[in-house]
Amino acid sequence: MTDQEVKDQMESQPAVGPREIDLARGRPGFMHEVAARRGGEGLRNCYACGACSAVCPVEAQEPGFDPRRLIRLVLLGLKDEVLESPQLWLCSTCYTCLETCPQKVGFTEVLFVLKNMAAQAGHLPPGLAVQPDLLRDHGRLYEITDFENGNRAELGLPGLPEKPEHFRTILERFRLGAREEG
Amino acid sequence: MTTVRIVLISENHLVAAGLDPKEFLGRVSAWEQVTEARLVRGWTPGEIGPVPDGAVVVLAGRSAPLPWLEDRGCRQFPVDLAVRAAWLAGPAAEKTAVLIRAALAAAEKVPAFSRLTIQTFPRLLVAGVGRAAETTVRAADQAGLEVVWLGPENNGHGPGNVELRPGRRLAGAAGFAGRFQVLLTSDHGFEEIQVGAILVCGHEARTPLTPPGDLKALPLSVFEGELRGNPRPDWADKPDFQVAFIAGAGRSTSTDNMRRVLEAALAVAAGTKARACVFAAQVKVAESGLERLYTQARQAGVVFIRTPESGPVVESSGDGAFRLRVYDPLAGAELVLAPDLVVVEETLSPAIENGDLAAALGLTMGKDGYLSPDNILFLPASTNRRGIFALGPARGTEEPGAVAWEAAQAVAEARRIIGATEIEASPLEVDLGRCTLCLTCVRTCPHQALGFAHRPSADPVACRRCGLCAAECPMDALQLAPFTDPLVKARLEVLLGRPREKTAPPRLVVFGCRRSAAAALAAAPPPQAPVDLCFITLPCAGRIEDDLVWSAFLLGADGVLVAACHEDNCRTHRGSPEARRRLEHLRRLLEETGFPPERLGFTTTAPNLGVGFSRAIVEFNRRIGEMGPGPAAECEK
Repeated sequence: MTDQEVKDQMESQPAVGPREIDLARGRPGFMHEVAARRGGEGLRNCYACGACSAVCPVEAQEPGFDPRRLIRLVLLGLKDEVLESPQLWLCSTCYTCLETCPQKVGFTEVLFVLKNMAAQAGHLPPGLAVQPDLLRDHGRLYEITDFENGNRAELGLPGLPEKPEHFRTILERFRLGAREEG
Repeated sequence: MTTVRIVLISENHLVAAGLDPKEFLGRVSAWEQVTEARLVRGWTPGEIGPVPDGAVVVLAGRSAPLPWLEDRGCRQFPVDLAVRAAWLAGPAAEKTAVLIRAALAAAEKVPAFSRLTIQTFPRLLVAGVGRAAETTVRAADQAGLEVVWLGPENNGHGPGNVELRPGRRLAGAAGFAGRFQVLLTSDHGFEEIQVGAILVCGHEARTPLTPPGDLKALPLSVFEGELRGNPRPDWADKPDFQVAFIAGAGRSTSTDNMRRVLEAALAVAAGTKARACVFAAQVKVAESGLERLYTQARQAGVVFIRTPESGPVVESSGDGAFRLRVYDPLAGAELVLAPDLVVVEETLSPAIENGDLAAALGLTMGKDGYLSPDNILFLPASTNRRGIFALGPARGTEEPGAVAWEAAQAVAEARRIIGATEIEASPLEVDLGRCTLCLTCVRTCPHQALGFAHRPSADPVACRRCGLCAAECPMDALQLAPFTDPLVKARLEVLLGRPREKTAPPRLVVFGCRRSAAAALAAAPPPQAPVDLCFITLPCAGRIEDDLVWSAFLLGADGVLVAACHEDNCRTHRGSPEARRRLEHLRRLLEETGFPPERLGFTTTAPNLGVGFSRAIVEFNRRIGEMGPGPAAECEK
């Protein structure tokens, strides 16, 4: 393809991230940082065959969630672009990519590492950030109010406690629900 | 003493042709010139029976002479009845009979086979410096050959038993394969040495590739020097200094270049604070150790960007600054880099010395300026002169694996030449009464195979039997056995002397190269239309001359077709193109005399193109048919 054809193809597709990346922002140590954590070891094996992207069920719906692209960005050393990316959080953890990968990259596990690094850097999406609090306060990840109990009553189902205190006691007792330090 | 003439006829062929073997045998035995005719079922000595030394033998039903009869002075002429009869018109018995009679007429004129013993010089000369020369010297030394190396300066010997003669240049090579007298010059004067084969490895000349756009780039060898230099370059201590390598850039890179790029990039990434980025259309790692080197480079932080064939897009932002840009489909974005230093690889180019070397050694240069003809049959390492080989940079080969293979082949061939001290005598006959010492033959020979004492002679090892000398000789003083003018004319007389039917197809003569046309004919399916074709085998199409074409027309041919190898596939590398040139000239002459030039055709073919050749003949046949009877028929009126 000519350079112009390549550009046209790129511009005709919806943007899945930045359109332009300055390579000078790449940090050579980032891939080693990821690979040093448990679960990230296989990262450097990737040779970009695209099998993971091809089998990913999320990618089929959301083209921006492209496992191969995320690995590429890590290998280019683009730490900020990766850890700030909202797409890190779309993984359904179905493990199909890990089973399909010919190079044992173990992408699902790599993504857990990236998610942990992102959370530690303060890039947890709000929907996830509130989950420990929801668990502590409501014993579940979804708040039960009179609206839900009203619907349940209409269907003849027994109601659920709306502000169960005992979950908080249990979780605090076992130090669950508190954010990890460091 | 009368000549004994024996005709051996394959019984299987007669049966296959629907003929009664006993009856046919009786017919042939009755011919005046035949001493004895025999039916044979096979061609072993037991099956053919005793044959007196010096007999003339026709092998009817066989395509090659019998080796054990050669040494007994027998003059043989094989004729492949099955193939030839399929292309002649007429009843089976007549066709077979005329083919045998033509073979008899030819067999008379075949010279007796003879051998000679020669002495060769069991030494190899290797000329050149660098890795290719080292590989070659090692291969020759390991093969147990004595080697003289016009190599690098050294105060001792080369590896093993290699004799080093540094500082000498090749100034000439007289003689022939196995027996070269080589002239060397140096600052101290001339010397002569005798060697059996010469392996020219040449010098590596490198040209930096033109970087895309207006980029200012450093050639790789200069950068390598900087890396190794003392003191270290300033940029080595700058953490954000970006070095960009451009590999390929509009042409394919080689594994050799890739190795150097990878090593340099790794040295930057692992050995300095600076960073390295490689822009390559292809990361060519198909050579030992390169995959590992590539992985090492990646682990050290070298970024590899795949570019289109033309390389990265170069944007200049004025005052000497620029950016490199490539769309990366994996990242889904354009990757942009503003490098601080750009390094571009170098490509192998023909050394300036090649022209002088070619002149000194009588070698044909290819179009690119390397020392080998542009012909696939001269791969991997042959030149137009037997016994002289060109490899590595001398013929444009960079990849170490390919160079090693060339060296192995050249050494094996050199060994064979040096070991061949019993050889078949030269096929070239000189009529001293006609030779005027004009030296046209010597100048024509593309293989430097003709020597000249007080008469021309072809060296039997160097001669490739193309026949160009015989065709060009203005006095017809040279003949190349067994394709001599008298032999060819004797066969044509018999074959074209058959009585003609009114409704018969046109009479064609095909002069075919033995390697391509004869093989293609043997592989061809039988013609789909009525054809009457006499096939005359030539050693090479280069042997064709006006005389043979004229004889064919005068003896009764309606059309003459010359079939040669494709030009870049010609066994002798000049035979086919020279034949074409000669026939074009002849056609212009024919036209001037009022003779329709379309009756003379030229086609190229190859040994495996049986179907194509068959179609070409049938098509020629159709065109000649439309033109009516040829000149001989006119004369008969």
